[in-house]
Amino acid sequence: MDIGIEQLKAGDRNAWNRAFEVLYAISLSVCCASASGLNHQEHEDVAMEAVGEVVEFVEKVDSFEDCKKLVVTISKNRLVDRFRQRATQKHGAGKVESLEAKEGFDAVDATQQQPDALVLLGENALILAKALKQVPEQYRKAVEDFYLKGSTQQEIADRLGLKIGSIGVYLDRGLKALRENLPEGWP
Amino acid sequence: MNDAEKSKLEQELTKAAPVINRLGDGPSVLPDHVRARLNAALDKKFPLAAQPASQEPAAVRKTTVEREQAEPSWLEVWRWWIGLATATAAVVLVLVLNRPGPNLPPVIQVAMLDSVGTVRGTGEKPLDTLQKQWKEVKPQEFDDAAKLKSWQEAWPAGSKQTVVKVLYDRDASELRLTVRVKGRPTVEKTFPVKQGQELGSVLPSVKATIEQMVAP
Repeated sequence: MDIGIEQLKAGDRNAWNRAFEVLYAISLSVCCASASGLNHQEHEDVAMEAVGEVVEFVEKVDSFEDCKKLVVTISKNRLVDRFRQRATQKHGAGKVESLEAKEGFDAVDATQQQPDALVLLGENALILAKALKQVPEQYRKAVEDFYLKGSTQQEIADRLGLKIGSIGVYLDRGLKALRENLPEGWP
Repeated sequence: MNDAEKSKLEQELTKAAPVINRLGDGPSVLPDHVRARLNAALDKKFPLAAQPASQEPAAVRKTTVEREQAEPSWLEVWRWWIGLATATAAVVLVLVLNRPGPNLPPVIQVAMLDSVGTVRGTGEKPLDTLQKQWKEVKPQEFDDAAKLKSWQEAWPAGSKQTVVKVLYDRDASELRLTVRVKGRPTVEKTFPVKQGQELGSVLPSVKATIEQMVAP
């Protein structure tokens, strides 16, 4: 997926629509890796703010790869802002705490997760999400429930009204269909 | 797909699960409100490259932080303009409704108070004299001062026209004129009808006074 920085700087809508998906997924990967204590809504807010800021500062970067790194940095900063704000509300202003002490902030993960790894995680998630949408619905549901939502095969079988053995078959077929929809040579 | 590929795929799916779960469920990986919000940021940054409004989603959800900061967006600016336009329209409407009617003919009401009653004779009856002077109006006759009072105090509600009340008080031998022009104080004028004087000889001066008073 080639996105030219010149197109972005010119405000090309199509380029930005593709860029939004990539940057949003990367920002979410930062949120998930660094702040599992925050809820879905807060992750979404952080990601929207971060991608919005990339739009704001796009003329200052040299490539789309830089945009990806920028969105990682901004996302981390926004998360820290939120934890500081939350800590201030909880403990009062003026009290300085380390990030590790902040509830919900996975500081160890955050320091270990390098920007490149977070970018890769976000891009992979985006590719998988897009490929999953191409999988036939009955198989896709089984794959989503099992691998993404963590349901057991028994729970899925009960929900779909099928035998547990059928779920194994559905998962196999779902993964196969998913693999066929992924780009050549991925990952 | 061999076992190694399957295992790799399962591993990647599990690793990416939290992110995939936060992406959109619909046809696009971006939820509609997220795309709308990002497009709004794009419009702000590149106003000249903006698409026609009809192609953009209507709702733009703000983040919690932005809601707190209450930064005015294009949507709020439009709301402000719509509010201003509504207020202006309301003011204009009130002014139009309250302005005096342009060149509308005055409403003339004519009445006579005669508690004694008609006296036999050959002379013209006063009511007929009044009728001759204001042909388009049917004069009312009262024999009781209380009933007359209610007539005097009754003004057409909401009328923008000038209202003229002509009352011939036969008992007092005078003709009373009350003129109410919208936006001006009510004016009263009395014309005595002297003993032996014909009512008809007073009426032209009454009519002239009315024309003078209702003139814009």
